[in-house]
Order: sequence, then structure tokens, then C-alpha cells
Amino acid sequence: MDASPDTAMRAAIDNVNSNMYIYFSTTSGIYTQGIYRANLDASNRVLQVDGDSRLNEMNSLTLNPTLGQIVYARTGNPNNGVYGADMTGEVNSGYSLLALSNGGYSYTKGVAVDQDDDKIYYAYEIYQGNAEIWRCDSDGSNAEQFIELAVDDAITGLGFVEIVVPDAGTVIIID
Amino acid sequence: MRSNKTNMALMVTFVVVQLSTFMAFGGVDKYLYFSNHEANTIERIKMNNSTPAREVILTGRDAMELAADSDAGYIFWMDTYRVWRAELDGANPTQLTTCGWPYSLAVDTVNEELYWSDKQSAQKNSLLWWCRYNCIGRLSRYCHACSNRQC
Repeated sequence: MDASPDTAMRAAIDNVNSNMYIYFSTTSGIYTQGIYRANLDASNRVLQVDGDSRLNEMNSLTLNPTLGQIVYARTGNPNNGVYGADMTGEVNSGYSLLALSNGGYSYTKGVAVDQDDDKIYYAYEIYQGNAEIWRCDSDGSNAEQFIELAVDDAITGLGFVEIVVPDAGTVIIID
Repeated sequence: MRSNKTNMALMVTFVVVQLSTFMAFGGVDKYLYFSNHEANTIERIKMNNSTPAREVILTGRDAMELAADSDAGYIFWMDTYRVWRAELDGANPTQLTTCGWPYSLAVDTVNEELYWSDKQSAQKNSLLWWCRYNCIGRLSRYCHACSNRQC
């Protein structure tokens, strides 16, 4: 069967900026392999990130709209890790390696962003070893292990959640 | 001259405004959710403590992708052939719709819409779909090639 012209592998939504966009990656079809941006009504598709020939190894895509940053995890040797690019809205080929996953035989499996604390969380599993979750700053610095999981754990998706907790005994009145 | 009733109403309004101005919150609990494909669990890690606390919130879930909406109070995940929703503590898991082989899941927290990509069995490449959070069983294809969200 012919390739569908609108293939999309990974997707993320910009919920913060006034013009909401969906970002998605394509690795086949009639369009250039890359990360695209489009309106939520599917109009105005723009090639946002070009030049990463190994986007087929992308495992997870997320955004930090506050910083205007696209963050994605790429598996596969030798450069499996966390990558960043700009949400400029213009065609560009810029992407950079932010943090390498530990060792050659590991698989980066998920990425999530804590926008308030400027942290990127990423998970990977070492071949025949433990799964781990690491974190780094948005520029890739200060990478550190957040938690080590077990050999029998295999992370396939990450999501970051903040829940506002009222003070015990405080009456909340919404006028 | 204002009546006593008017004065009372103004006073009540003033008190309510003052209370809401001083409305206090205990803080923000931060969680990192993850799907554990090997253990068939969905788990979360409370991040406020110096030692991250791991908690299994759902078992028997072969989740491949996961996304969350703090404001709406939902997590979403995909297993092979299905899209699911549950509350943040794992309560009330509900199947939203069916899908093919799951690739990616993203939430529009403003419009409360869910986007996902999957590879249907008859197609070579993955396609993008969307539906409302409460649009159980209904979905539309997001076709960027023909600039149509109702393809």
C-alpha cells in the first residue's frame, strides 16, 4: 500500500502560547522527514525541525512552551538521549543533543518537562539492566539520576502533573 | 441614601472579596507518571519529598503511551488497540475508543481534546487522530496533508 501523505509518529500540543499548535514528527510519506508545526485545525503546516536523519528513532516528543523548546528522546546507538530544538515557527535545521543516556546499550523511552523548575525528566533502560529515570536542566546541564527502578521495569511513557493542594482548614470562596 | 439592605449586601460582597484575596493554598504536589510495560502497571512518583515515593495506581494495564491533564484531573494511556482515561489516582478507568498500534499521545488541556498517532493494521504508516475527552467511542482523523481536522 502506498504511504499515506499525512503520516505522523509523535505529537505534542503547545497549550501555553496564545496561538495553540500541534507539533508532530514524520519519518516517511511524501513530506520531508522532520518535526512539523500546524494549527489545531490542521492548517498552516510548517517544517519546524529539519536535518535529523534519525527521527525514526524518536521515542517521545514533548514541549516546554515557556522556554520555546521542543524536547524529544531518541533511542538507538550511538547517540540515544534527549534532544532539543527551538519552537520558532520558522523552518530551521537546528537541533542539539542535550543529554546522553547512560551507556551505548540503553534505550531512552520517555521524556517529560517540569516547566516551573526548568527540568527535563527522561527514562531509559539499560540493556539487560535496570530502568532509570534521570533529569537535567533545559540546556542539558546538571544531569542526575532521579530514581532507579528494577530490571523488570520497562518505562514506555512519562507524564508530569501538578496538583494544587488547599491548606487544611482553609475555606476557599470563589466569588 | 442607601437602605440597610443595600449596605448589608455591600458589606457581604466586601467580606467575600477580602476572603478570596487572602485565599491560601497548601502548595503544589508534583507527580511524575509513567507506564511500566513490563510490570503492566501505571505508576506515579511523588516528587515533593527528598526521597521520591513510588506508587502503583493501576495494575493489569499494558500501557504503551501516557499523557496527563492536571486541570481536568485525568491521565490517558494507550495499550494495543485501545485508548483509556482514568482519574489521577487511577480511579474509574474508562475505555475511550479503539486504536491501532500506539505511537504517541498528546493532550490539548485548553480545549480538552486528545490527539494520538497509531498504525492501523491495513496501513503502512501511522496516522494522527483526535477526539474530545468525553467523546467516548467517537474520533476523527487529523489530516495535515489536506488541512482538515475532520478527514
